[in-house]
Amino acid sequence: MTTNIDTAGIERRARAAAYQDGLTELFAAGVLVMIAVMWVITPVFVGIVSAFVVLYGWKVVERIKQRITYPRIGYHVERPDEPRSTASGMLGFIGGAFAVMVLAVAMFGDLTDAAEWRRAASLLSGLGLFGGFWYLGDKSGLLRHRFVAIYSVVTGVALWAIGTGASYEGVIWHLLGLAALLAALGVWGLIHFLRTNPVVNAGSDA
Amino acid sequence: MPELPPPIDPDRLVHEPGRLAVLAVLNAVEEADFVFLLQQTGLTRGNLSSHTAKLERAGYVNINKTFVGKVPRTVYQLTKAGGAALSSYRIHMAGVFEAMS
Repeated sequence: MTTNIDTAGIERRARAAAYQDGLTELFAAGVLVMIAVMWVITPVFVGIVSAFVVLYGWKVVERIKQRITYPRIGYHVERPDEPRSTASGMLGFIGGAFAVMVLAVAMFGDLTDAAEWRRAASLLSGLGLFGGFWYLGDKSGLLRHRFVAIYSVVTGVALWAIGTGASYEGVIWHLLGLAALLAALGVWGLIHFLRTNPVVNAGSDA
Repeated sequence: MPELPPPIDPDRLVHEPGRLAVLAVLNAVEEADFVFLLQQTGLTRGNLSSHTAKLERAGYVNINKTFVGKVPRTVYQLTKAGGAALSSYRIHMAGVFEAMS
C-alpha cells in the first residue's frame, strides 16, 4: 500500500480554514476604525480602548462563527501560539519599528519637534501593522494577508512622506485606509465563503 | 555479502492514509469536531468514525462528547502520543524516501 498523501498540504488547509470566512478581516477593520476614532477624540486612551475592543469584540466574532462558520465547515479551534516566543517576537518587531521611526525623524527632521513625531506616527503604524499581518499570513497561508501587510507599510511610508505633522491626520488616514481594505476583503471573503460552503447536516457523529 | 537496507516498518496505525489525514488535520488545530474532520479529510462518515475510534484506542486522539445548547458535539484532540507518532512517522518516511533516491 502506498501512502501518497500530502500531510503538509492538509495541515496548511486546516490552518487556513479558520480564516476563510472573512470575519477576521471584518473584526480587524472594526478595531482599526475604533482606534482611528479614539485617536481623533483622545489619543491618550487609544491603548486601553483597543485592548478592551480586541478582548470583548472577539467574543462577538466567536458567537457569529457559531452561527455562520461552524455549521458550514465544522467547529475548530486554532492551535495557540507559544506565548513566550510570540511576546518576544512582537516586542522585538515593535521595538524595531520604533527604532526605524526614531531614525527617520532624526534623518529627515528634528527630534525635538513634536510635529515630526506626529507625522512619523503613520510610519510606526504602517510598520507595526505590516508585522501583524505578515505574521497572520504566515499562520493562514492566505495571500490576502500578505497583501494587507504590504499595503500597510507602503501607505504608512507614503503618508509620512507627504504629511505635515500638524495633527495625527497621517496615522488616522492610514488606519482608516487599512480598515477600508480589510472591510472590502472581509465582505468578499464572507460572501465567497457563504456561497461555496453550504450548511452541513451534522447527522450522527462518531 | 552486500549490506541490506533496514526493514521498512512504519507505525501501521499512522501509515493508513485516512488515519494519517486525520492526524495531520488534528496536528494543525487545537481541537476540531466531526464535521470539520469530514470536510478536511474527505472521508465518509463511516470511515472517519472507524479511523478515529482506532486512533482513540491507541491513545493518539482524545474524544470528548459535549453539548452546544441542545446539539451534541464530538470534539477531537491530538494527544502528545499522537503528535509524537506523527512526527516519528514523518522522520521514518523521509528516511525511506532518502534511501530510495
